Amino acid sequence: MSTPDEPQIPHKELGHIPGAEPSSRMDVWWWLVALVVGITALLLFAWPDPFMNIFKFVQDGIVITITVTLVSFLLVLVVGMVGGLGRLSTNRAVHIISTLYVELVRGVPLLVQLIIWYFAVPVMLQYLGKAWAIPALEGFQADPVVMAIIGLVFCYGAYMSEIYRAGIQSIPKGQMEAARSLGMTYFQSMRHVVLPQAVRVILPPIGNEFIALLKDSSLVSVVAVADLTRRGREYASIHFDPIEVWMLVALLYLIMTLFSARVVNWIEKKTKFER
Amino acid sequence: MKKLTLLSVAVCVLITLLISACSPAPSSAAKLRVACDATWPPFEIINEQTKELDGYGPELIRAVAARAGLDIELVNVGFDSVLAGVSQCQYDMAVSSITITDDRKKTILFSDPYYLAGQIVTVRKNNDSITGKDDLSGKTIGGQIGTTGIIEANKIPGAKVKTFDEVGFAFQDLMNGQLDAVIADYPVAQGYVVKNKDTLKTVGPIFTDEYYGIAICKKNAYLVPKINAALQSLKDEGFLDMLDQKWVGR
Repeated sequence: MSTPDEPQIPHKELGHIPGAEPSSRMDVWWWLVALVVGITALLLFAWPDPFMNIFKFVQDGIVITITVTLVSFLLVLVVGMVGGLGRLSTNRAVHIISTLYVELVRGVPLLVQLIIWYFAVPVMLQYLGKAWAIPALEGFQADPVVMAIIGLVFCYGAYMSEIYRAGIQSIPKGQMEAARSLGMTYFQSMRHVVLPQAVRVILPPIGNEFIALLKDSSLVSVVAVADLTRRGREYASIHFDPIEVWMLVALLYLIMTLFSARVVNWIEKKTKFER
Repeated sequence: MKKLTLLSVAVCVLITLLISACSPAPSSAAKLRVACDATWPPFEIINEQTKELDGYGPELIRAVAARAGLDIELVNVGFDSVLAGVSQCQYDMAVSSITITDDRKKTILFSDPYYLAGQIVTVRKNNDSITGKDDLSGKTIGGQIGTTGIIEANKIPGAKVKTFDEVGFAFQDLMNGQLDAVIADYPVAQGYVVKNKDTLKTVGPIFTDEYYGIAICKKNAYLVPKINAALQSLKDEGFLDMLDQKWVGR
């Protein structure tokens, strides 16, 4: 017999809410990352020759690939924002310049752009330096990594501008109007009202761009930047084992892309709330 | 039910397409695939008019094939893919100014040598500090990926080596002032220097003796005597001298 004063202890089963266990909150796709890392580690340690030798050779290439990607991406975020706002600007000159930039740059293949940046631009600058007698330009020497980053930023900035524009346009006009009628300036309303909402919308495409940029960074190998792809080619050109080299290089790229996809997914979850 | 029928038809079509795509066409199966990197003037280039492979190497291999009664098909790929492909028997042969080296002999068969070349250093005309190979330590050196020029550059202590897909990129980079020197086969370097007399010059002697050979994949060992015999008879007839006159001009 239970006394009426005694508090009712709910049955243990009732405390269990399906889908709320810590294990099911975890993003299951991390297992895919773990699987690919596992396969790579297996190759490296079970067959150190040739896989460990290849890995040791391409190590500095991985560092270059990651550096080039991260630095470019940070700059792309800024350039894209400027380009996107320019595309929406009511100022005719700004609008025309940013539209020209986007239309021209996204119409030329990245590979061609990179070759122009590295092989043609230095010659033009040296020529201008000679014509205008500017000694600093005359002796201009391009650093391959810097030129590669400029090329990537220039090209991806154009794509990113369109993403920003689409994101900002997806926010109802009333938001901007309300902010302005509260006395905020155009930039204040952008900064505090429109952009925070737009960022949530454009996060998935931005993550997509990051992964595309990571993969496209392999194109910089054509201007002799010693990135992962270049190092892989160099190793294969000495040892003639393309199958092993490219399998390992593909796995290394896959680890980087799958990992960044998970990070993007995590950020998306963090910034999401029901509307 | 209709959907299921449609799906199974689609799957069947796909499978037939796949199978037909995978089985090689009978005509090309009989041909021997010869790999060649046509970015190496004057030995392997693309003819501007015909868009066909041309130069010393392709002309030589066509003559050799005609003499030996072989049916060949030339394929244009990057130099590192030429070497990798012929060592993995993806290509039956390769003629791409390939120097015969002991390392390469481990995975590739070679014909008798058909050309004597060697490496030379190319610098900018206004550069007086580099007078030969021995001044290159600590300098930035460029060349084409997989070539003996890069192998030699890697032997130089303290040198920073940059590999390019094409030797033309390396020479362009040298002219732009972003490289200190390029190491390449003498005839090729000479070609670029003649074309850019005002900016480039070769320095020092030719510092290696290198022989070009026709590379043959290990599975095709039966080809070696055939090709050597054809090569020898062409040599005796003065055909190689003629090619030398025509393409290298010395």
